[in-house]
Amino acid sequence: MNWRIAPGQALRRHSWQDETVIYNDLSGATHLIGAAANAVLDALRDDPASLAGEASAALDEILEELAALALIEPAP
Amino acid sequence: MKRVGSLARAALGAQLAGPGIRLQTGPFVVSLRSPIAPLADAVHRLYADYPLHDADRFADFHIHMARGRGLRRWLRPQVHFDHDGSAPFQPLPIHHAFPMFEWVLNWCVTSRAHGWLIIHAAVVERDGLAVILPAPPGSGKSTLCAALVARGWRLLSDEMTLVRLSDGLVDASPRPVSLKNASIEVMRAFAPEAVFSEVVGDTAKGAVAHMKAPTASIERAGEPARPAWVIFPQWVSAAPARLEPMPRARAFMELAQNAFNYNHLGPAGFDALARLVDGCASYRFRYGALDDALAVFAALPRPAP
Repeated sequence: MNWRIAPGQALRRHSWQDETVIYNDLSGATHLIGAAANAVLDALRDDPASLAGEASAALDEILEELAALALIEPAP
Repeated sequence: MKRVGSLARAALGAQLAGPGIRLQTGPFVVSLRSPIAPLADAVHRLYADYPLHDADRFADFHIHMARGRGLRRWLRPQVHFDHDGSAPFQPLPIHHAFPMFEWVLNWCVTSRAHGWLIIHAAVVERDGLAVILPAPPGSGKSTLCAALVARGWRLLSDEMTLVRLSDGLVDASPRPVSLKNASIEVMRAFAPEAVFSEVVGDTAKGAVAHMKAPTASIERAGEPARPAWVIFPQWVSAAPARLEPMPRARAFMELAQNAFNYNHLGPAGFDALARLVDGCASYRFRYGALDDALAVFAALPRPAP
């Protein structure tokens, strides 16, 4: 499955060491995410195709978590 | 500048029962009307140093606390509160009038003052740098705050940290420090020179008393402070004092949970909190004895300017 940043999410983030807080524009909630999830968001924003060659169970897990927060969604 | 203390007790009572008074606490002007004598007693004792304004001065909050009506007025005297005509609090026994005034004023600020990110935290300052002490009830936050203030730290607030959205500085709104249960006697012994309200013994929070804010803190209420430390205190009986660094992102999440209007502010609240956390060193702090805690606070490593 291909993914994209959910429309309406501005990815307002702040990172310290390997942890990031992110503001969810759709829910108004704030989430604490790790470095890997933050890197996945960067990749989906900048170059979604770059994830194609990285398929792994760990990546799938991160994608599912980000989708559950409505930060990302399946690309049409 | 005219102060509340310029009115003798009888004149204060008459004005409160009549047109009311307008007193200033930090950035807020409060109009207070009430015929209740125990409330006037406490205002006379704890608010003497606060600026008193004329009746034509704009007031941010209008608070009217009245006796109940009808038979209940005589059988079980109660105090009612209305704020700009609405009455969001349940009536309470008449001798709860002063603690109720304090809670009501807190409610007015936290539900209306959205020019600040308001964190449920005490905040004190020394040498221009502020320590923010966020904590749930029972953590010893107010006791620690009262002890720091009694030993020379400036009180900005014991309950609400007002972080400006514009520049991230913390505004002062020094008010009486709320003490509960065993803390009341602890502080009487620790700061015998301080001024305390009467103890109200049977509130929903147990016994409550208030310690007057130091005159110097009230006089400097117009001076903001730069936040430098966020310290989450936890009192643990007989525990040695221990300061433990806290990752900034974790501090951010806990501060967001302790902010009254974080959700209301949306992205502006997120940005204000990120700037605050960026500029502060964050710690968890366990302590068992106030003197140990004061020694730790006196030696806090100063952040890079």
